[in-house]
Amino acid sequence: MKADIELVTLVKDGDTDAFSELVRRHQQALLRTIVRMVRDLDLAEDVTQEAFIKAYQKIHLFEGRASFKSWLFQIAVNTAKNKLRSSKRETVEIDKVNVAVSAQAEKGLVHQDIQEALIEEVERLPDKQRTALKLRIYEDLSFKEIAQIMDCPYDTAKANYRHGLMKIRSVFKENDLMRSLIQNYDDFVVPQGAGHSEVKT
Amino acid sequence: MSGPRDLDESIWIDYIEDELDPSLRDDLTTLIPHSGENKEILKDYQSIRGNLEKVGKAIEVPTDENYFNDFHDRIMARVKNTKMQSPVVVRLFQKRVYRAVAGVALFLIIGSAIWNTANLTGGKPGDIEVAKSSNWLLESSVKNPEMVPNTVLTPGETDMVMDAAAEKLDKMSEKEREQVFRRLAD
Repeated sequence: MKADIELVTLVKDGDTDAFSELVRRHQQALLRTIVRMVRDLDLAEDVTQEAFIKAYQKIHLFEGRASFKSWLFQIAVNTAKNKLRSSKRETVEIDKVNVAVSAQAEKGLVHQDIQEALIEEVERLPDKQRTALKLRIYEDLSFKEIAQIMDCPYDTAKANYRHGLMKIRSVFKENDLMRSLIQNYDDFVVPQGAGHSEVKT
Repeated sequence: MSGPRDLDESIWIDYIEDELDPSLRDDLTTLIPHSGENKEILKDYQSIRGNLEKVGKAIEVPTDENYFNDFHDRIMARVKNTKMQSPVVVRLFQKRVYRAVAGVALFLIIGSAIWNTANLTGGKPGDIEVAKSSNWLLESSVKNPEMVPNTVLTPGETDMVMDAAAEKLDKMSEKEREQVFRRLAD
């Protein structure tokens, strides 16, 4: 089986079958990542297709400094951000910040509510923090991979991730919702995936 | 026992992510049972992460082979109607070329300054040679931009040209100087 970089060389020479193989290899992981970013399958399909088309058009720009996968994901993540921006899904009105969490707090929380509140808080994070957080938690990517995809230094990727989590904690604490979140967490078994250490507290 | 209060809470995120030096990690593990405050912070982050993992897994993503065969075919149908950007176009976007273009622009500015100096001073043979060589450099840099970063004049050389022009103006009589300024004004 040829390595990605060998396939890229063939694509640069005009071999579309080699590109077809790259699509087969990466389409599933890419679509999964983008679905979790945009939370809409139709939009994720559009973004994934567009990312592959852009990668094909600009294949001569790929110099192999990072992996092809990281490069492709970088294109896809940027495309997703642009799509979200253009569809105004990211619009956050200042006076609405924390409204979701506060409303949930008032009516009492069940599992679904607390998760919805958590999702909304994630969506309110600044772009870079949200991306780092989703790539790390949803996709279980290393900070090195995240840095490559976000085109930033390793420490910046990590800092964005940390700040995102800290902001979420701060909002939940302000609204006295940490206990519900912990309760919700205790009600299911957390898988011990790579890079995520579970400690008995 | 509440434990050290001056620990940055982000250290517990690094702890969960396994991003700490093993010895520091061991120290923190020893600390946890004795520090209510830090234990609480750790628990908070674990629950946020755990809940988010659950949320991520709850988003439905297609997995069946037929779906992805179809998806692959749709992508490839679009690829077949897409033109790959030529390597020449791609090279235009590379930083090296940007630097070369900036170099050429700098040459044009300095070259025209040298040319004007030669003309202002009556086109004496030495000045004309300078102008000729600057033109040669300009032509060469347009033909071969790769050489530009190696041949641009340094700021010191620019100063030298300005000094030479000032010296020549100093040596002129009042009348000659007036003629030069009149030509400049024209």
